Amino acid sequence: MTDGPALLQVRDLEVRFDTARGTVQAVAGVTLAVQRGECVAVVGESGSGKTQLLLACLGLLAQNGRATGSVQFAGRELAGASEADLNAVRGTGVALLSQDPMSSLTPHLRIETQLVEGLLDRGLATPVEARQRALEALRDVEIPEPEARLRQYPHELSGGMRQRVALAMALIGRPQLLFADEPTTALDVSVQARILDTLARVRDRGVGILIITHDLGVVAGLADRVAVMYAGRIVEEAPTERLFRAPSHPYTAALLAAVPRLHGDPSARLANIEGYPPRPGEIAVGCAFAPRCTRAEERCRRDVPSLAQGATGEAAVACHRPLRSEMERA
Amino acid sequence: MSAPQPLLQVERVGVRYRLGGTSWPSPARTLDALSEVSVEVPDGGRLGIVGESGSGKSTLARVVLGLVRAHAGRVLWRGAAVDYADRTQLRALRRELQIVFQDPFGSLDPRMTAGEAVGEALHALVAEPMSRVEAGRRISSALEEVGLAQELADRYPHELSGGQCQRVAIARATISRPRLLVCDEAVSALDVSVQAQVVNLLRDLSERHRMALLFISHNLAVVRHLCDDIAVLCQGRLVERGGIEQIFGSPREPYTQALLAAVPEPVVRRKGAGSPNP
Repeated sequence: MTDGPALLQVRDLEVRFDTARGTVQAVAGVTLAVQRGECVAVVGESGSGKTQLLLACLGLLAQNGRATGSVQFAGRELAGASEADLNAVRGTGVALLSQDPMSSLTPHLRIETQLVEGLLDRGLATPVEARQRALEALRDVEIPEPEARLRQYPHELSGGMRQRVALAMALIGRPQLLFADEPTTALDVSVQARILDTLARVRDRGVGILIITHDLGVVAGLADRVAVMYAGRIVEEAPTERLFRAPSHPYTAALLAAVPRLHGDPSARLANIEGYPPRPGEIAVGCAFAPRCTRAEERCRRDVPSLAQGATGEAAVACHRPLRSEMERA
Repeated sequence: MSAPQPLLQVERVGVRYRLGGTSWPSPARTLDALSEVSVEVPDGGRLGIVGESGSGKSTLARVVLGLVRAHAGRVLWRGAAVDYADRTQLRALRRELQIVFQDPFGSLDPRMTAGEAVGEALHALVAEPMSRVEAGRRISSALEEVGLAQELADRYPHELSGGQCQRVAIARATISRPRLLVCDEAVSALDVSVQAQVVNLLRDLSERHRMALLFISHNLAVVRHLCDDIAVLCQGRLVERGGIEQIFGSPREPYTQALLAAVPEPVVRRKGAGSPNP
């Protein structure tokens, strides 16, 4: 562990929603840390709770959502903080890059107006400085002809370019921590690869990144550590290389096998995971993955496995029967 | 080798879009979405079309379906040129040629249950008269074939997951037993685990019914698991065409190589010198 408080330290975070059909738990006791200059990926399928985890960290849950537990940013408690305290951190301390650049940009405002608005509203820069910062931010995310872009509207830009503008907007306040929610899901693979390269550069500059994705392929080359989420819980957390080389949780292994590859037998079927994840609100007894797991036994259907923390650099896994050898992983 | 008649031939097709409003007094700006593109799909074969956004791959699908008019070239179905202006011919063709789109929610009517959506396609595409019992049986078997449980037939799209909606769209498209199914980024919006299920489903359907596929995607790795041949489009032009082995083993064009390099695979690549990790 590094000295001092982590940039982001989430402890025992739970998220519940009050709905017409009763209380639905989306996140069940998540503990997670992100250091400066580190990228941590949270990987899971739709409905695993990964987006609600991120929104809870930012204090952006829907009206009927409640979060308990602790979310500390550089030692400051954000859980339960007032809007004013949160706004003091948003933009300059933490920033968000969301999935869909068309909905994170305002359609009727020029790019320049949107980029500088946060700086001007808080008196962080004069209009002249703000314009300079906007140009720098666009150059930083490798947008060609930044001067011309400032005058354009979002609809005049391609999807990849819009996502770069959204990234510039997230970075213009020089945040220490960036939350990225499926930042490349709506993009082509080639555009995606370039955005991921840019994010890796931002991380290497010392910004901490928490990225949310459903695709393990996306986190290669970017994430230092990966936390795999299933039904609101982290089921495995490990350094990226370790996770790819030797997944311990059967769910992690299944997710890895589902990614289509460029090598190996092309006529082989893609490994798929039978069944569907539990719907939020379904009360599971035992391990939530047990109904889809080929290794499940009596104990798995009875007791919820806890995330057993290994030594530093090792994998932590919440499984009664983790995969231990190459043979088991095959 | 005596080449059998291909099911679909696209011959030197060109599509030009007009940008902006009037052409006078300033000349109209145009964009060549496709120029001289030729591809063919054998009966029961699986052709992948890959390229980035704006490469013309969706336009090509639209030309084949008759949703976009080509200004040059022609499309042949079983060796005969298709006249897209002939409504009778087009109706007959629609039974044999179907499409699945990218957005699983957008392609279903929110007010129709899964069963009704499939039933609508059945009545629109299958000519012979049938009893209600027979129609119900056909709908059930279509849903079963795409792996949807019977109890899901009464659900509306918003009650289904993305993968389930896409299965409904596939059931709709395949109920008339088409000879060719066009898939326009049909798995791109799905979670990786669900994507694998749908790719396997498309392959099973193709093999079981000898149904040809024209599979459009920006992800070469997905295409590799599904298709026999690949055509690479770049800015409306065909830049490379070949079998799976050739394209993945020895891609000739730098553009194809770039597309291959961009595929997100879960393998650890060597990091740059600036990495904070040992």
